[in-house]
Amino acid sequence: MDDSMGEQFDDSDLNITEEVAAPTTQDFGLDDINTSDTEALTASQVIELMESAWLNEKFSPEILPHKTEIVDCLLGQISYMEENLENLESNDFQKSLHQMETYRLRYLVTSYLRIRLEKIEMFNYEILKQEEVREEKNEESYLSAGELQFAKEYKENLEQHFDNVLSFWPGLPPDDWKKEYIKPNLHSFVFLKSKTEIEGVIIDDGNEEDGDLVDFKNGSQMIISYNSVSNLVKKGDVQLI
Amino acid sequence: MSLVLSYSPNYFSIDDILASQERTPCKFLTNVPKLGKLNPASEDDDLAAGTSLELPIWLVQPLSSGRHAIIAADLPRIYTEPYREILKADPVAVDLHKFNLYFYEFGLYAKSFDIRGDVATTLIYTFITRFRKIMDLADNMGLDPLINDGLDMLERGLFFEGHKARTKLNNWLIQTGMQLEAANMVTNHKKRKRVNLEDII
Amino acid sequence: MDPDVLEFLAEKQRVNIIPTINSNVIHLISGDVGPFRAGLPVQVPLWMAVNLKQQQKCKIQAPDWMDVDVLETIKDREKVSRNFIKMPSEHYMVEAKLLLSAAPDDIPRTDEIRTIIKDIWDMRMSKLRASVDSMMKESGSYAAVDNLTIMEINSIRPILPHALDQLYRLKKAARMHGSTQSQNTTTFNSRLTITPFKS
Repeated sequence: MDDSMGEQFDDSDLNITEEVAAPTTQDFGLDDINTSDTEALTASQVIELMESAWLNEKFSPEILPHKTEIVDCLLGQISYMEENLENLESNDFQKSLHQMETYRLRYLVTSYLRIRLEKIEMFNYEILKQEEVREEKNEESYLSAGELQFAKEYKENLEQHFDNVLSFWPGLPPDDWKKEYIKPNLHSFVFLKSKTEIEGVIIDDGNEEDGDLVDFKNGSQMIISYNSVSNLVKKGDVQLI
Repeated sequence: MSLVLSYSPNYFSIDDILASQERTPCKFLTNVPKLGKLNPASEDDDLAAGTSLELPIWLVQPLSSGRHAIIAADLPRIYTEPYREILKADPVAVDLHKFNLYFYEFGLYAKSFDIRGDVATTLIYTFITRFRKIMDLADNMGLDPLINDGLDMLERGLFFEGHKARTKLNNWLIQTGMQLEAANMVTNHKKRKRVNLEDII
Repeated sequence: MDPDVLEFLAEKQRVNIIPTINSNVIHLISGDVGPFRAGLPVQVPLWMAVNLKQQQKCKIQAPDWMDVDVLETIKDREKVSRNFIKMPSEHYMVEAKLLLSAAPDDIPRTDEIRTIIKDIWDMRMSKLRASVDSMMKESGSYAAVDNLTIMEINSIRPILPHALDQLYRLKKAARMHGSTQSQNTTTFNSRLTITPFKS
């Protein structure tokens, strides 16, 4: 992946001296960034959280609670860096490395957001219904404001499209497809790594009576059904891998 | 598509629509006016009680259930005992594709006409026993276009996704310079032969 | 997941390089790297190490485990162990691929190292296939995959999780036998309303 990124920089004729000026981002990474009122995180911690959210989103069958703060924070860092890079000479030795890093981080964020958009399209009705339920219960929304807007517009377009198409078939009951919307298979098997000691995880093996109880050691890895661990994923006690 | 989801039936699933199209033997319990054209052997306008026909299972299931059942459904031939015996003997040797394109999906519908639950047991045993074969096929480097002929559609889906992922991995491994290509093919061949022998014994 | 994506993930791993250039600290978003003093080892992310090596601005120091003797020991342990042994690096395959191809001149006995790593990989793959097979045969509803690296786990994805998903569907259907309303039935019952047979 980086090979192709690397090829974009033509710095073969760089003449590096000892006196390369450090970019004007001296305190980057050292600065604490406020992601919420209570937590202060370094930029590298933000990247770790982003990576973790990306992998969880990639492997979980359902859409997970949004991480807008982390996304915004990281995008802010990337933009800030990119602005600073404009002031650097194009043959600066450090510039290409900074650029490579911003490309890598952009990939991380965009891949994460794309996966969520795909889920919103695929499970549109289910996700919007869940969001309504959460709103009624005064629970935190899983979609970001932008995603919610996208989801609603997508739904409108879909319905408009179906109305247009189905109007040619007067005999068809036009609303049936809305009742049979596609839901994620929450029982899908996933791989995970435990980030802490967890006792008594109930395995959903499909039987009516309670399934086996399993203990996770810190660092232990399992293949298990997602619904047995979905709350642990959301709490951050396990990482999907 | 970056979401790799396993198959599960939904309203829009073509596989589910096609599987529920499969025909099931049934017998009419009452006369049905004006449906004689369903029976190609008869020229009557009405369909007489006692007529035996094969109808798609999406139609058979609702018409055969409930208090006002119009038809009595039978188990499709491929799930009857003689066929179950063949599957019990050696599921790996069976050409499931010939049994039925949607052997498992159709079976999940047809099992409701099997009171003792033998069909469901057969589906599970067949799937578990044939999995090794699917995995071996998916892991093989070359793709013989005829190779998945013996697989039903569900197995094909597994094979296809597995093979796609395996090919990507193998291509990546070749880039490591570890000369995995030739070696991999040889070991796979050996393994497959050995496994087949075990299966015969 | 594509192996390329796993490679991306592994490229943040830190490795030692010996720069041939001098430079101040680089303030990356992910943290500071450097300063670079020609001849003095310094830790950098793998992606940067490969990039600098390609520009001939550094030599790469192989990780401790990327050594014929160490790897032979690992191979012997893997051979006698019934379980998977813990690998010295979570990303040993990616590190081996990138470092051995970028810096064959810096790492001694690269061909031998490649061969041993391939042997270890093959051994672990064949153990993995056997465990996957027995997990299916026992139709387990969970299993420990301790000490498997992500690249190894990825080698049985999606086929194992997808097969287990299907097995679960079949098992669930088997338990519901007798009741005519299978999980699928609802789907086509509602499709049925488009037919003239609706009673």
